[in-house]
Amino acid sequence: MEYSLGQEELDVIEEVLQEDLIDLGVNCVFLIDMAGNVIANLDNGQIEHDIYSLAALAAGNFGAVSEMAKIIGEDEFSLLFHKGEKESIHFSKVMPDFLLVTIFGKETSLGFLRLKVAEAAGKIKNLLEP
Amino acid sequence: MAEKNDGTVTVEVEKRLEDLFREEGESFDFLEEAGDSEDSSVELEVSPDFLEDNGNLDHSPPRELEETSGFEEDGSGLDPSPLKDLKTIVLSIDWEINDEDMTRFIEQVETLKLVYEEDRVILLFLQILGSLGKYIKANKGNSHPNAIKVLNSVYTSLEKVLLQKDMTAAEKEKILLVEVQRFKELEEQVALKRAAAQGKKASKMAQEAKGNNMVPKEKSRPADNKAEGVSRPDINRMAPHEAFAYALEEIKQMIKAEFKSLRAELKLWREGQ
Amino acid sequence: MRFPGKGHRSPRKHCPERYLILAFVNLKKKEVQVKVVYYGPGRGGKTTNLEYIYKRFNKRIKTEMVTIKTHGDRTLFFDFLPFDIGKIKGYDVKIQLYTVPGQVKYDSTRRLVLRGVDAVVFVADSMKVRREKNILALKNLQKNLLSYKKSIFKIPLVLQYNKIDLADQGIPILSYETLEKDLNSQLKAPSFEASAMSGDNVVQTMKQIISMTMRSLQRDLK
Repeated sequence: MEYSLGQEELDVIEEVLQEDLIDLGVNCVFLIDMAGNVIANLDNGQIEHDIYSLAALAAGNFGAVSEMAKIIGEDEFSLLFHKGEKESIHFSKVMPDFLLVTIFGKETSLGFLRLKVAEAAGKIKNLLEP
Repeated sequence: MAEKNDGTVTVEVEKRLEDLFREEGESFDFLEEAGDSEDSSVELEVSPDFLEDNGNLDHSPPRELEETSGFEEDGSGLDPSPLKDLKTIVLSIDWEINDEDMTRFIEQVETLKLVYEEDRVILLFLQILGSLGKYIKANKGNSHPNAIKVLNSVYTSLEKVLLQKDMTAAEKEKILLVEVQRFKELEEQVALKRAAAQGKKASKMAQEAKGNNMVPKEKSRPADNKAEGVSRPDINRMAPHEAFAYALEEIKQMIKAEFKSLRAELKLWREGQ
Repeated sequence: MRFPGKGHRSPRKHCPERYLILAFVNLKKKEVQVKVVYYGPGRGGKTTNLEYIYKRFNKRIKTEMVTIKTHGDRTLFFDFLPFDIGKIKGYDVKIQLYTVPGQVKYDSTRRLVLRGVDAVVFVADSMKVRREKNILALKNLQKNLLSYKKSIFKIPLVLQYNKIDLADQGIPILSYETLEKDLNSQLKAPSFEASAMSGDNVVQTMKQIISMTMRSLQRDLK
């Protein structure tokens, strides 16, 4: 499916990510397509990650995991999350074409984050598929 | 024909590429250089078993976690612990917050309240947990982000108090007081959040020219939540038994206020539909 | 265009129009991201192409290379080398070079990496013993492109016949004519003999594919 994302849509997406995730305490969030292209990315001002490499890897990672799911007879996994000592990373599919990746520290609860991510994903979906 | 259309872009691109990738002198011998230069490329080396062994992928709540956020390994062991079922649910909530688990959490807390109805300290812990559980269940993604942190913290303290055999009553009370304080701070944060949200909502509604009768209600709501806190005695200066009685009463009031706010909010939402 | 070096051939002058459906233009950021995938049989020199570009130019183009490989130095997932070529017609053009794992068993991974591809460099192995593998890999490319409804005849494509330096070591290699006949008789894409190890025609290959790809951008950069 093809999407056309103009300035207005991108502004709304950034607003959603800011309010639902960055303001919650998430360190960094980016919305990418499945080829690893960055559509929007926001952080708390203290992040200097190489977003483009992260995006490429995230897309590859998610893609690989999706293939694995199919091989074992699952449609898809409901959770893709990597826990680090200080920072963790969570992946969430937004419609079939996009991936929302959040990087967060120990002070954010995964369970709560997943709720907010689902909320943000829902809002983005409503925006792009009214 | 194609040349005519793309002339300028192609020329610009080729010039740029020429500038960027000018190769001075002889052809670079890659092999010789390979040993000398510092390899600053990012390499992720994985074992050939990478594709088979990916322990990070798990979509079901873990039953046994070596490390979970907010939990300390106190070595006191869990089996046979009266908190075993509650712990399982709390661990589950750490990974995913849903109606089913929150309901189970609340039910388990109620069960434990019956078991420990004679123990005031434990009972207070459980009452706080119950209140938190109901709040999170009702508000889900709109809960204050600290709610789940406080829940974890209160649970951890409860576990400590219940399972460490050699703890004195005074020590237990001290731990409880810390959690009560945390709970009260959360309650204030929730009230602030609600006030801020209503402020936004009120101005939005005012713009849509809704009736005046909504405004007084909204103004009074933050006051409701703070009503019992107007003349708040210093809990630290009271004698322990007084402090507990007071804390218990406060928590009861808070829970009542919480439900009152929720009902009012529901009413507002219905009227706004 | 002429390309100096021993025994190197210039690309065909009359290539049929290869156009592109661009994967990604960010109108807000005024950014274009172009994905170029180096494809080909295992151990053919895809990663070596990128490594050469990286080692030679990383300071100038300010890039880091990401590789996901096995302990045995075989590409497991992909190599990734992103760099900016600056503003073209007001748009920041970001080039993303990828390689795929060449081993037959990584077909799913290859297909994954191919997602959203804008242009392909097919790195063939000039060694005589690899003749069949080249053909199979090219057919595999065609099949995987089709799964994304892309045609090998339409996507910007450059063929690189790598490892010609082995001839000097007495290793039997395929002639340019043979490789052209095997791989390029229908495609009629630009082709280069190259040596990724020593860097011969590595940059030229890359410049050619980027140039071809950017030609189509004109339409979209308004």
